[in-house]
Amino acid sequence: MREPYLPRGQGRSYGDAGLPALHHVALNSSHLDHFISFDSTTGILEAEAGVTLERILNFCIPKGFFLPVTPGTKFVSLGGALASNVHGKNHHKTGSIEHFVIEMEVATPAGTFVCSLDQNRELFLSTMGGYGLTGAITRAKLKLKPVQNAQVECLRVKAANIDDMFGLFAKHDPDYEYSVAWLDTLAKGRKLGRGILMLGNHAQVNAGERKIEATEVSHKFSVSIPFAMPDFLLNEKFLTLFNRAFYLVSGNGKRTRENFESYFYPLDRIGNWNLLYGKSGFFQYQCVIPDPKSEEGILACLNFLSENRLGAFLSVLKRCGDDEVLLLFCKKGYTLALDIPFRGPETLKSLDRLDELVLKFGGRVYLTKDARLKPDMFRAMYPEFKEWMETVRRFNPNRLSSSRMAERLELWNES
Amino acid sequence: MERIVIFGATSGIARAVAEEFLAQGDELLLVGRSADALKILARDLEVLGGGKPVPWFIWDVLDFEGHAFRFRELISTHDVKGLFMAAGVLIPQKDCDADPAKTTLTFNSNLTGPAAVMGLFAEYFKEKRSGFISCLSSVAGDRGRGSITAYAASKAGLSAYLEGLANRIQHDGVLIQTVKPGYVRTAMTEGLQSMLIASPAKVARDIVKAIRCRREMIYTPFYWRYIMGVIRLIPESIFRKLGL
Ligand SMILES: Cc1cc2nc3c(=O)[nH]c(=O)nc-3n(C[C@H](O)[C@H](O)[C@H](O)COP(=O)(O)OP(=O)(O)OC[C@H]3O[C@@H](n4cnc5c(N)ncnc54)[C@H](O)[C@@H]3O)c2cc1C
Ligand SMILES: NC(=O)c1ccc[n+]([C@@H]2O[C@H](COP(=O)([O-])OP(=O)(O)OC[C@H]3O[C@@H](n4cnc5c(N)ncnc54)[C@H](OP(=O)(O)O)[C@@H]3O)[C@@H](O)[C@H]2O)c1
Repeated sequence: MREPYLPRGQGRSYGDAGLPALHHVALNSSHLDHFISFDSTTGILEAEAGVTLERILNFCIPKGFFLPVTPGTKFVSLGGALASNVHGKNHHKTGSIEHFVIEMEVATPAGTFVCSLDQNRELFLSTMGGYGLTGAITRAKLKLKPVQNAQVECLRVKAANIDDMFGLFAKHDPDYEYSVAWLDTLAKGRKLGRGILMLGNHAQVNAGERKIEATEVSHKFSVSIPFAMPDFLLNEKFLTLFNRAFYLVSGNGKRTRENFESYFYPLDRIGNWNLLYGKSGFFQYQCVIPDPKSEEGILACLNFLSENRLGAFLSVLKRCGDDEVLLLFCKKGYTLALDIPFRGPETLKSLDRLDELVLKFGGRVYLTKDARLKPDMFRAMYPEFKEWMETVRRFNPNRLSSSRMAERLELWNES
Repeated sequence: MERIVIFGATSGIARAVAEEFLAQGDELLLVGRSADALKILARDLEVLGGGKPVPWFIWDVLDFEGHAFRFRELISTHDVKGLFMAAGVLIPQKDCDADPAKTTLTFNSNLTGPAAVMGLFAEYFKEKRSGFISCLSSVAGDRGRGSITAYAASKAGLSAYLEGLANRIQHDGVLIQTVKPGYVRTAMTEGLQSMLIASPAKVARDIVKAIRCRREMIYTPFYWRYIMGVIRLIPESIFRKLGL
C-alpha cells in the first residue's frame, strides 16, 4: 500500500487545509508543471495541476487571454486553485473557477478518473473545493477568457460609511466586471465601514493601438520584507493611523489604467509580505453572509470588529454570486476577509464569538483560509458537508489522503 | 530548418534555456534518456511555441559504445546549428566515499560522457565552419572542494576540456562556451536554502544572451565571477579551514 499523503500545491492556503494529517506526507505537485494543449480559438488550455497561475498568465496574456477567475495572488498552483474552488473580484458576475473547468483528471485512492459536469459528476463536484480529500488532481482543462489587453481600466470611489458602501456596490456592480472594497475596520461610529471601492474592467484597445500591449510580466519583486517586523508596528494606534491615512490619501472618483499585476496582485509585489505581521503572525478570517441578511450581518460583524479592536491592514469586502459544488463557500451575498493579528488566546476567543455571529446570519467561514474553526461550528455552517463526505469516502475510503484540517474538523468521524 | 540540440533537456536549467531559445524563434531538438519525460516536455514546449512541433531523441550520455552511432543517426535526420549540453549529476560525496561506483558515475555523467558527445559535435561544426556548443560546467570546478570532491573535480575537468576545445577550433567560426552557474533552483539543489540561489529563468536569459554575443566563458548570475575571483585567491591553508 502506498504511503498516506496530502496533495500540495504552492502552499499559499493560510490555514491547515494544506498541511498533511499526522503520519501523512505532502505530495509535491511542483514537478507536474507542463502545458498539454491549447486551442487559441476556444481558449481551452489543458495543463498539469502543478502549473502556477503565474506560468499560465505569462503564456496566455501575449496570446490575448486571461484567467477567467483569479485569486489575489498568482503564486498558486492550478490544482490548489481548483481544490479551493477559488473566487476572484468577478464573483458577482461569473462565480468561482468551477464554472470554467471543462474537465479534470483525479488520482483518487480508488483509481484515476477523468471527471466533469457530465462524466463522474459527483467526483467533479466533490473535488472542486474539496481540499485534496478525494485525492490528487493531476491535470485539468480550463477555459480562458479573451482580452484585448493586459491592462485594467479602474475607478476608485470612496464611501464614508458602510451604508454608503452598500449603495456604491449596488450602483456600480452591474457595470464593472471586477469589484472589491477595502474597509477601515478600525473606524468607529458614523465612520464605521468607511472605505474605498475599487472597480475594474479589462481595458479595450483604442483606435490605432496595438491589440496586445507589452505585458511587462515582472521577473522580480519590487520590494521584499527582509525580516519579521517588530510587534509594535501592529499596535492599535499605529494601525488606526495607517488605516486613516490610507483612507484619506486615496482620491475619490479617480480613473486610472493599470497593469493587470498591480490591479489583481498587489501583494505579489511585496516579497514575504506575511512578515509584516511580526513573529506572532496573524489569522486570516473570511466569511460570507448570504442575502437577504447580508447587509445586516456585515454591519453586525463590523460593529463586533470595531468594539473588539480586531481589524488590521487588509480588510476586504465584496459581492458574491452563486456556485454549485458540494462544499461551497460563496453564496449570493457579501464576503468579508480580514487579517487579524494574533495577540494570544483572547484573539482565538474573539474569533469564536465572531463565528457565532456569522452563523446567526446564516453565514460560513472559508476553509482554505481557516486554521481554528471548531468541528460543531463547521457542521452548523456547512450542513451539506455530509453529502460531500459521502463522495469523499467513496473515493478515499481509508483516509489515504488527509489534512490537518480534516482532523481538526473531525471530518472522518461518522456524524 | 536548423535546430539547436538540447542535451539533458529535462534538466531544470536546460528547460528554461529551451524556452528562451523558443521565445527567440529557434527550432529545438530535445535529447535525453527518458522517452516519457521527453514526450511531456516536448508537448509543453510545443504549446509554448504556438503549436510548432518539437522533436525529441533518446541518447544516454553513459552509452559510450553507442555514441558514434547515435550521433550519426541524429545528424542524418536533423540539421543542427548548435548544442546545449546540460547532462550531469550531483551525488553526495559521502555516497561516493561509500561506493566507488558512484565516483565513477559522477565522472562519467559529468565529464567523460559529455566530453565524448561534445567531441563529436565539435568536429562536425568545425567541418561546417559554423555552429556553437554551450555547456553547463560549474563554479564548483574552480577549486578543489572537500565537501563535493568528485563533483568539483569532474567539473574542473569539464571546464578544462571546453577550454581545450575552444583553443583547438575557435578559428573555424565555431563558438565553444563554458557556462559556470552558481546555485540554481532545480531538482539538483532541492532543499538548498541560500540567499544566492537564482531562478533557472534568470540563468537561461544570461546563457542565451551570451551565446548571441559569442562569449566563450560566463559566470551566471554575474556576481559569481567576483565571488570565485576571491575564492581562488584564498591561500590553500586557509581555504582548507573553511570546509567548503
Ligand atoms: C495573498 C493571497 C490572496 C488570496 N486571494 C484569494 C482570493 O481572492 N480568492 C480565493 O478563493 N482564494 C484566495 N487565496 C487563497 C488561495 O487561492 C488558496 O488557498 C489556494 O488553494 C492556494 O493554492 P496552492 O497551490 O498554494 O495550494 P496549497 O496551499 O498547497 O493547498 C491548498 C489546498 O489545495 C489542495 N491541493 C493542492 N494541490 C492539489 C492537487 N493537485 N490536487 C488536489 N488537491 C490539491 C491541498 O491539499 C490543500 O487542501 C489567497 C491566498 C493568498 C496567499
Ligand atoms: N543547479 C545548480 O545549482 C547548478 C549549478 C552549477 C552547475 N549545474 C550544472 O547544470 C547542469 C544541469 O543541472 P540542473 O540543475 O538543471 O539539474 P537537473 O535538473 O538534475 O538536470 C540534470 C540533467 O542531466 C541529465 N542526465 C543525468 N545523467 C544522464 C545520462 N546518463 N544521460 C542523459 N542525461 C543525463 C538528467 O536527465 P534525467 O532527467 O533523465 O535524469 C537531467 O536532464 C548539470 O550539469 C549541473 O552540474 C547546476
